[in-house]
Amino acid sequence: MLPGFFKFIYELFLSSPQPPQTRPIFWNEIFPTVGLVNIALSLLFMAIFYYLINHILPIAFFKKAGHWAIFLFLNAALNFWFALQYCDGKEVEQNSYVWSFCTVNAIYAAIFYILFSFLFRRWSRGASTTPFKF
Amino acid sequence: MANTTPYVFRKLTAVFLLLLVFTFSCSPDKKQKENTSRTTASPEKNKVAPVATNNINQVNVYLEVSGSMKGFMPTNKANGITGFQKIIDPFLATIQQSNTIQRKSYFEVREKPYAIDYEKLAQTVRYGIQQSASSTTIPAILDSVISKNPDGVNILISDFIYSPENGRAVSFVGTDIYRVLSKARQQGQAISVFASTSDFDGTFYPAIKTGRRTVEKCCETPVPYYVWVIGKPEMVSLFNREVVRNAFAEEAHAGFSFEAPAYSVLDKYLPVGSWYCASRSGNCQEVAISDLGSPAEMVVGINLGNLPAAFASETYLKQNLKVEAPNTDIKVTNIYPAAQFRTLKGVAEKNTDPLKPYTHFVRIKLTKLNAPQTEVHFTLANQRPAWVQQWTTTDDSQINQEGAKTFNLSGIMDGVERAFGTGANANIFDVVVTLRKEK
Repeated sequence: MLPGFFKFIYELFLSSPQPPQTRPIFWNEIFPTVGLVNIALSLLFMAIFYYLINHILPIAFFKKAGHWAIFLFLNAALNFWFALQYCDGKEVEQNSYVWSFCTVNAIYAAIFYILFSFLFRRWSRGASTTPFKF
Repeated sequence: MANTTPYVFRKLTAVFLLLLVFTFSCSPDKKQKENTSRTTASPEKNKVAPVATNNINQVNVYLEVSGSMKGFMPTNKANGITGFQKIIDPFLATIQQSNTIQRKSYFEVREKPYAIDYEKLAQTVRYGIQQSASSTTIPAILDSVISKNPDGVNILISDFIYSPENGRAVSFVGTDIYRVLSKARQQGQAISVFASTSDFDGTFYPAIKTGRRTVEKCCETPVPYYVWVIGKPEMVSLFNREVVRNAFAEEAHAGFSFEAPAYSVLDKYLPVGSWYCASRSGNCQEVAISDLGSPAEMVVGINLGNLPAAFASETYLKQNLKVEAPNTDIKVTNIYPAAQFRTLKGVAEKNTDPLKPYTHFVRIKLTKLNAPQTEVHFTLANQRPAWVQQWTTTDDSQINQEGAKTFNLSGIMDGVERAFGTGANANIFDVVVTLRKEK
């Protein structure tokens, strides 16, 4: 179920893994692990921004849309780096497919972060309207 | 209050979106699980469990010392020693010193085998046969050799020139050998035949006595001699590995059942085309082919380390390793020994650790697959080695013209093969890689 889910979401933007011999490792190991880490990191970044900084800690100056965007980019960059490292660890050669995969993973990191932000921000005491009110 | 309704609506939309993505994703995965569940059932069937053994309880060495052997072990050779002495003296010493062998006995074969100690036998090999004995026929020697020590390893060193008292019996050598060795077969024994040639300095006794009964001051060409190793298969292979090694030029084997070798498709090395390994654990023995728009080429690693060296030689493999798969046009493009494969472009610059379990690499190519699935059989046929025919003569009375040949050697080997039921149809192994079209 999980490998299928991540295979589906990554291959929305990417072709089947290239070279073809790397397909099983992408489908069975890289996509699920990197995808789960992506979701976990996005949740973590969201939680740090909305609940650690703007709920538990009495910090009032770090709740603007700009601050929120910093976390978005940090999360994307971290996930890009993790995907690259993970492929390297699995002895997949760095080819253009790996780079595209890392890019797509960074885009998903941003999407997950935005998604989680709007899902969970209402319970944050200090930043329930960040990045914008609507 | 006016604020909350769109808020809840927004949240519901998000949850709905997530659910949608999840449901879409489930279907391709199920297929994959179905396909990978039945990975490697087929190679099991030809697996014969060999009994692991690391010592040999008893080795009996029989050296024929009849007049016909005197040319190999001359008493007064003008200069140097013969090739026979060069090989057999250290061979006997290796047996005597081996820790793998618990008990060693030595025999000189005259009209029957006589026990003798190692020192005496080494003397004979080194300084020549002092008193040549009258010989016995090969089936008779074999018979006494086999029945004396059925649980150990027996070694018979002879020129294997079959000269029965009744000259016409030579035509039936195949049958005679067959009858004797059937007994060995019933006792669960196997045979390795090692062959080499040596210079010969003495009187040659041909089997065909139509012309001269002997050829004096022979020979201008080398003369073959043979070392037969008979015993329980696991002990014979241990003996061959530990003691014989590469001492002799040629070899042939009968009565062994070989363990199916380890093998795997290696998808990281020189892959061409759109395919990938579909078995998820361990060795890759199932391949999914996405597309054959361009030909698919893959490398299969195979471990032939447990086979006798003769079967793993490059020429033998090139002639006898068959790769067949119905509904395809599969063919072997090359067979590489490990050392050569590692130096190939596209391999040398990679991590070669995954290549360690394999001794040979077979590159295969196919351009069509007309069925959803096919089984690629890698079989190695147990062919009689080419040297047997080359070393066979039908008339050895003119040995100087014939060269390094033995009378009716192929007839003797016929008897061996009949006794052990090996021959053209026997396979040393048959391993399978499954190919299927990606669904």
